[in-house]
Amino acid sequence: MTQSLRDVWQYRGLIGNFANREIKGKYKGSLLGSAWSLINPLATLATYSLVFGFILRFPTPVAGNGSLTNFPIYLFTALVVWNFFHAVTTGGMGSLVGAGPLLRKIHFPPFAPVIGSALAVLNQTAIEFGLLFIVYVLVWNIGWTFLMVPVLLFMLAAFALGLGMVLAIVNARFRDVAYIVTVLLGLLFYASPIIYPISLVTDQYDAHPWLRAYEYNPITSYVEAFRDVLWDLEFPGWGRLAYLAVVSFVMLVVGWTFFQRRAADVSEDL
Amino acid sequence: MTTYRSDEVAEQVTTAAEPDVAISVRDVTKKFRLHNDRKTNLKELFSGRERHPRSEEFWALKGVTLDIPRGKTYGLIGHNGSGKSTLLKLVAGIHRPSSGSITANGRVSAMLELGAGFHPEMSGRDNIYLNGSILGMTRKQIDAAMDRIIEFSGLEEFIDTPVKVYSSGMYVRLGFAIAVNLEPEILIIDEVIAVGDEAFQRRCFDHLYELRRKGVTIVLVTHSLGLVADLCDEAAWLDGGNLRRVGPAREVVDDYLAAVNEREAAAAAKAEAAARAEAAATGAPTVAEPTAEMEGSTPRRGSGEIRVTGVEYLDSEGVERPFLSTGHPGTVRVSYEAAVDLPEVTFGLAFVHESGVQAAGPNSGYGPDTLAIPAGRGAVDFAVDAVALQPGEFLLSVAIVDRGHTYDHLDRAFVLKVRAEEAVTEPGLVRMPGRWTLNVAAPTVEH
Repeated sequence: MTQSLRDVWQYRGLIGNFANREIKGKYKGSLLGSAWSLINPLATLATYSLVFGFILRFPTPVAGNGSLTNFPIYLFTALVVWNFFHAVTTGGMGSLVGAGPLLRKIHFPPFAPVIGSALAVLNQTAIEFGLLFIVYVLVWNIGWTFLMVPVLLFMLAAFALGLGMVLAIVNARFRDVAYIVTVLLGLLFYASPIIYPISLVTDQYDAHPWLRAYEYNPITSYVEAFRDVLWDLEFPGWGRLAYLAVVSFVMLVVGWTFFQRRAADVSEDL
Repeated sequence: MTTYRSDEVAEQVTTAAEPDVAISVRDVTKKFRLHNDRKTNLKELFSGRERHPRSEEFWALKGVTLDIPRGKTYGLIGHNGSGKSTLLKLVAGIHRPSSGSITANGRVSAMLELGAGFHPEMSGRDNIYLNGSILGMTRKQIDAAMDRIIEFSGLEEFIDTPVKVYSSGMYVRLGFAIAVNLEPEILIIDEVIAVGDEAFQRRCFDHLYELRRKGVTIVLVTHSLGLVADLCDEAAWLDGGNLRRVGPAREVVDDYLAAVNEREAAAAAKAEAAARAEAAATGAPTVAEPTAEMEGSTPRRGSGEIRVTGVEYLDSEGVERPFLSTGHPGTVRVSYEAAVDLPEVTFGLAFVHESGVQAAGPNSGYGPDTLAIPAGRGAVDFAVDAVALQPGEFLLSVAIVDRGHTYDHLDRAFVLKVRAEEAVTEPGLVRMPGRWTLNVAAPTVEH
């Protein structure tokens, strides 16, 4: 454990440079450059405002300030969380395959590009959360619970990174994984209360008791926790926090162990 | 001390860290799966269980044991596919040996490809940080070396532009400039020095010699045997994944060359025997007839009273050989067929290097030295005591003339291969024989 942390720390410069490479390379060659990382979420927000504000209208719970019931903001809160999870989970696959030509020429730990790509995601996530905070300030729905956001983000990052590491190393051998993951994540997206309020599912517990399994989905739990602190301005509860902490920690340890076990030979698969 | 072992659990390394050994390779094998029809599909993973395994195994190294001494320059030679690059990658830690162990006493820096990992969209300066950290430098080290790197690469004006606009030469120069600033303890190089223009290559070699002088252990894979003989102290010759020979570089190179020449001669003899057998089977004459296929680079010219019918290369015993050897006796035999008696004939040869430069153009002489050729067949020999041409491929032109009149002229119609029996250490197209003497000036008398 400490050895792993020491390894990561020793290569922090390399990890940082991989993150840097990803961020700098992302919007190069485009006219607007890094403005896209702001335009993209803005456009998403606008689209959802249009679709869910006028056409599809879900019942929206009242926010923590007692008056806010704007569904697009409610949706965007969850979407930002999902985007972060999605980018970290899938980014590892691309970055490991992308580092293939390098790994065949130079000896360096394969976890560096994977962790680097996860770090690079923070750039986009910071922008999206910044945007979200501005929106919440504008509608005056703020509270001390916002301080929980970094803690939750850190835990979600551990979960997503652990999952991403497993996927990255398996994808190096079987490139189908990337396509399967696209499908499965699409499924997971709708299996989590992102574009709908969780009440749509919980209301059916009496009719279908097996639906309770729904809440064990860590992404459901994360989305709810983020909505608790950002939308409802409530503490997510120790039970949920403990569940998420355990799940995320286990995922990270499993992912890291699996990755390191296979990493020594990954240069032959790339 | 870094040890790359086949096993996942690193056992206690029993070999005592000998201070004079930089890298010790112990009974190393490496197996690769051949990926010609690789199972990249999950579908095949699940459905192909009963079928014959598709991926074949290939043993790139079959048990190699050697010690690379500290502070020495070590060359790895062998044919393509002999396993030398694989061994290099194992030493560099890129792959893991399938069995056996490799122990490196010191920091290993590998230069297997210059500018690997450059991001085309990032500036030269950003790429120095990226590449430097991939090669194991800390940010502090890179900052300290930044000016030296930029200066060495000679890319001051371009260092803040994206590397995608760099020429391939600039790309490599920047890559090398980063690599040389690594201050390695053990440096591993794979042919990368054979790039760039003359001036840049010279700088690279200067740098290698300087590293050598500083006591850096250098492991080098190259096909330039002259370089191995020149730069390396010791060498290992790999053949089909096995170690054929280890020893002083020059001896290993000489042995290797002898084996290559032998192999090529055998292949040529086999091909000739096959051709002869075919000719015998079809009843065709074995002696080459002057046919249309004897065409040179320009159409055959001449009035045709006498015509060249073939060219052979002979060694000192008069045995026909597929090539001549630098520094050894050799003969070029030109066969002819004359329709009439010709009293004054001059034979001329031109040796044109594959680069297009004419290296030599001997002729049989004019005036009193002209040859009187009777009608019929015959041959004219041009013999030298020591072939001056350096190894390489030459094109041979043959002309039969009488002062201004051309009987026959075949422009660059024959290929002459010149081989080295020993390591080549002189550059140039020809070896210039001469004597070197030292003349120390007499000390001037002080008044």
